[in-house]
Parts: sequence; structure tokens; C-alpha cells
Amino acid sequence: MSLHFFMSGTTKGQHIMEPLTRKCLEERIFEEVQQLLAVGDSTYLQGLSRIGFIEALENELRFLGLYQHDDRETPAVIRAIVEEHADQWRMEYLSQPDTSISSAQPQMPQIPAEVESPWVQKIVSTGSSFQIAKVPRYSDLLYLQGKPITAQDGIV
Amino acid sequence: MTLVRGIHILAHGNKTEARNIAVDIQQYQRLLVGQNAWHGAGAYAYYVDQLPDNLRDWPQVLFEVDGTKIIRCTTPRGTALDFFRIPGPIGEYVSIHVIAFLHVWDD
Repeated sequence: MSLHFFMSGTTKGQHIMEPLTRKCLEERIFEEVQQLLAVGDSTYLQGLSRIGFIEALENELRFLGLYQHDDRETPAVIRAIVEEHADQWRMEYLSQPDTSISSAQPQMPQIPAEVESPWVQKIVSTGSSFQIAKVPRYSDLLYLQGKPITAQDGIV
Repeated sequence: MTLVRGIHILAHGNKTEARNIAVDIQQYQRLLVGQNAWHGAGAYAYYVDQLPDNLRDWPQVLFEVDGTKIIRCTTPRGTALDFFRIPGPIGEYVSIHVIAFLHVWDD
């Protein structure tokens, strides 16, 4: 659902979101961004420009199902929120000691498994009993809730 | 050679754009490496059985790729995530073998 119905007015042709709605979305974005920063490759991310950092965040947030692909308003609001707080997040993130393991050098050289999906043939590997099917979902790590966020979430 | 099957989401769910992209993917058996990814440069895909529920209806391409050509994405602590990337320079293409397109040509 678009946030369009929850816009309260316009200024210079731009919609103004209900403060409570924006606050709700902002809180959700903050929560997700903290998780994204926790799973991100800090070495790689530190090398991104400010714009690159913002666009990388936007890309990730698209896949969290926060809005439908034909929703034009919500991504614009998310972009504004990300831009507003990007410097703060970058500063906090860059100030952390780099204890990350680069995704370019994964710890598991071979991924084994008997994947249960009928689409997947047996993926062969050696030296590990790790099972793909038991790997935690990215979305689980990010505490993703099933439904896209809507402005109604912020209405009391 | 170990083959891995992955699902690449097309155009962030935009079906019209996905159809244009699918033509190129089908013809040249390749994925474009986009800009500013969170885990490094490369074409990204979910392991076939680990696609999140909220993305199941999005336009996507099911493909196979040589397992030695991919890098599994992990958290900083090394926990494996449910997707991988096929590393490559931004703006260039990486090779895949297309199996099928899903939710692209239907209405």
C-alpha cells in the first residue's frame, strides 16, 4: 500500500508525510540499518563514498519488503531518512574497530549439502557437514517481519 | 565441477523493467554487476531454497553457476547468509546458465 493516502498536504509540490507515520518508518529504518551495519563488511563499506553508502543502504532496504515495487512515495521518504542520518551512521560505523571478516575471504571454502528443494541437485563438497538448509535466513537475522510497512502502522 | 543454483531478483520487482532485463539475460546468459552493493561488487543471488517469502512473487531468474565462481556472503562473525555473489567489476557482466524465468512474463 502506498503512503499516498496518509500525506497531509503539499509544499512546493512535495507531499508532507504525517509526522507519526514518518516516525514509525524512521524507527523501522533505524532498526534495519543497525542490523545491516552489523552484518556488513566494514572494510568494504568504509571504502564507499557517502553517496555509495546511501545507495547501498537503499538497495538493501528494497529487499526487506518495506514497500511494494510500484510504491513511489515510501522509497522517497526512505531516501530522505537515509540521507539525513547517513553521516551519523557512517561516523558511528567507521569509528568502530574493524573486526570484520571480509566477504571476499569467507571462512567456509566449500558449501556442502543435501538441499531438500527439488530444484536443487546434490551440491557436492568435502570436509564439512554444514547444511545449507540449516543456515539462518538473512531476513531472520534482520528481524524482518512479513508484511510491508505501511503508514497505517503509525496511526493510532 | 560443482554447480550451484541461485535466484536473482530482477529490477527490484518492477515487472516491466524485468522483462527488458530478462531478454538480455536469456540471450547472453549473463548478469550485470550493479553499483553500491552492501557486501562487495558482484551479481547477487539467493540460494535457490533460501529465497525470502516476501520476494517469492517478484520477477526472478533461476540459474546455475560454477560453485568456484561464487562467494557466499557472511556476517562479520562468519555466519553464512542465505545469498551469494558472483564477483565482478561494476558495470560488467558475469556468466551464468539460465534455467528459467519466474514471474516475468505472466501478468
